[in-house]
Amino acid sequence: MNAERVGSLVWLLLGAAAVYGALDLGIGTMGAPGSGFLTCVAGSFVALMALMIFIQSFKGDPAAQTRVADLWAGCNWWRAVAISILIILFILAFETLGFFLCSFILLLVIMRWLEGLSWKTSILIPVIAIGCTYLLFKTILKISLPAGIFGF
Amino acid sequence: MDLADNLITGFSVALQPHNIFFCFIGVLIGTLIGVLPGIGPVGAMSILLPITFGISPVTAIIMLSGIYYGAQYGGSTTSILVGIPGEAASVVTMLDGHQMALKGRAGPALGIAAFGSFIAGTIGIIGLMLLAPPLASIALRFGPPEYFALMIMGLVILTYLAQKSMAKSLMMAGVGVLAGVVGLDTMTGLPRFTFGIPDLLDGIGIAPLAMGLFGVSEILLNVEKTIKQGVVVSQVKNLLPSRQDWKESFAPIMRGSFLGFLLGILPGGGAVLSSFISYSTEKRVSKTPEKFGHGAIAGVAGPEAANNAAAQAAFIPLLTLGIPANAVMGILLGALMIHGITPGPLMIQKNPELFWGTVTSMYIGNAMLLVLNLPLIGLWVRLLRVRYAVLFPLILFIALIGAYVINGSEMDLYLMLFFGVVGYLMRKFDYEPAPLILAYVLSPILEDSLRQSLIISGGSMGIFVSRPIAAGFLFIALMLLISAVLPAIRKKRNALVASADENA
Repeated sequence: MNAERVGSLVWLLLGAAAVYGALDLGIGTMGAPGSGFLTCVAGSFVALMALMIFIQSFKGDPAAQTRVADLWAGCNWWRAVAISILIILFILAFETLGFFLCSFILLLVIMRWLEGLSWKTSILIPVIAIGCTYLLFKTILKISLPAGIFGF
Repeated sequence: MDLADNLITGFSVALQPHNIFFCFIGVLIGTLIGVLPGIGPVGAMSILLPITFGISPVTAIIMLSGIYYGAQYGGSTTSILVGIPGEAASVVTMLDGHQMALKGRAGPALGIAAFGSFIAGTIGIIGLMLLAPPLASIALRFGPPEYFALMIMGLVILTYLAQKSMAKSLMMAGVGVLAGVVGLDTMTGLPRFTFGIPDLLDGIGIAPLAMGLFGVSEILLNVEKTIKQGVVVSQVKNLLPSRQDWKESFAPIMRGSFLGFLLGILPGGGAVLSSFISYSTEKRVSKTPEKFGHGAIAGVAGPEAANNAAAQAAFIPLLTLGIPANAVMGILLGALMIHGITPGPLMIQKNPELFWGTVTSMYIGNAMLLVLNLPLIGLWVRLLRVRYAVLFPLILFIALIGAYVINGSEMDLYLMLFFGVVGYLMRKFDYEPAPLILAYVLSPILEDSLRQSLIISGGSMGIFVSRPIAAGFLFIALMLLISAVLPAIRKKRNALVASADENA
């Protein structure tokens, strides 16, 4: 699949959805623009630009065009996926498990298992970082951080 | 009040111990992120935005500004010593700076980069100080149509100077406007695109958006590839440039400062473009152009001066018109608005302490940077050995905690991740996030000025062409759009972008 074409189609859909949403909100009149007025203008503009990029993607040598698979060729893409999943797990557990435990597990998992750092580094650096962050937010800036079910 | 009074006001604010402290923290973090590849000033500033909530607006802006211009200094260290740019604006510094380091002249290269930056930074501040107040008084005459036209022109210039496709950049600006309309409509009270989520009623916060687009997405992209870090020069000696070095560098520093300042005012112009133009200018005027690319000190001095002068000049449109010239200024605008301050022509009159305090703090910050970057160079060299495997989990952790503490809401964390993934995909597919964030920040002002203009004119679009200033701005925007489509000019623009890419 041609990367330019796929990308522009996604934006075309977004532009069209924005126009649909804007019409639903009400675009008003020129003398009294409604809540959806600017959204309608911006959505149409996005859709128009996307359409232009889509049409342009058919020009030029097809062999020289980038395919979607090429964008991930030679990349350890699974590492980006792993980090994203870890972030989701962190968010899901953050308020339940609390700041200390959640942060420590996140940093330990990334440093020890994803990056293969030594146990010493993977424990020492998170402990220092979490300690400093707690000191900054809780003690200096007086911003509360979730304590979690264990109460710390 | 004349300039002297203003300076006294400024220094009385900037020299308060807590402001000196936060200025130092700002330039220190700036140097740090400039030195370390993998995180830029936009990412760092957005991650640190929540920390500024607990301090006064002046102190917050002093610190955030310090990060920005500090990063311009720090970026050169990595470029010269490692041969990879710590910062986008330092790409050009690398060409000759790294060659100098390989020939055992890392000291003078770092020295001239720091001195050049200091001189240009100072010239930039003086320019900012002299130019901002009269510009603000002109802008006082602007009504909603002028503001609307100015923002359109700004966005068009930004996309015109964009590194990649102009159509893509324009589209990203459109997406940014769409992101900015989410939340309650201030005029009608209608919720827009909130999908029944109460957290979205206040709109998408700038912190999760910017942290996602610039912080998380950079991490996701970087973990996919192996970042090689190798300090080629571990011992740096003779930081003070010789008399001959000064002789060869003085004119390039002056030219670079002037060029950088002029381009820095333009939206999207900023530090990166000015450093490229300064380099090509120096090569063109040099009596020994063949030395360029093989360790010519003028190739370090000029671009370094240009990117620092541009960094200072970029404050002008923000502080006088309320229009950010680049993504960093967009974050600053967001920070000011969070603190209840609307930048614009009235800001200098209404908040003289903020304006003059910030400007004068830059003098202090520049002096601090000189100390940080010359005598303490050994510390930064040592820091360059910190592996990305250690660094990125910490950046991610600070971003996550930072995004959470703003509202104490998990929603902001999800939003940050969402925009992180969007930013990652955007960069993969060659879409730039900078126009998006700028248009997002401008969206509410853009909408208000468009609506007000149409209400004033009774629905006639003629108001944008019947008022000379607005018409002038729109004319410039139109000319740029037309010129981008004309084949001959498009060829030239593409050649410029291509040469920038090659050098990168």
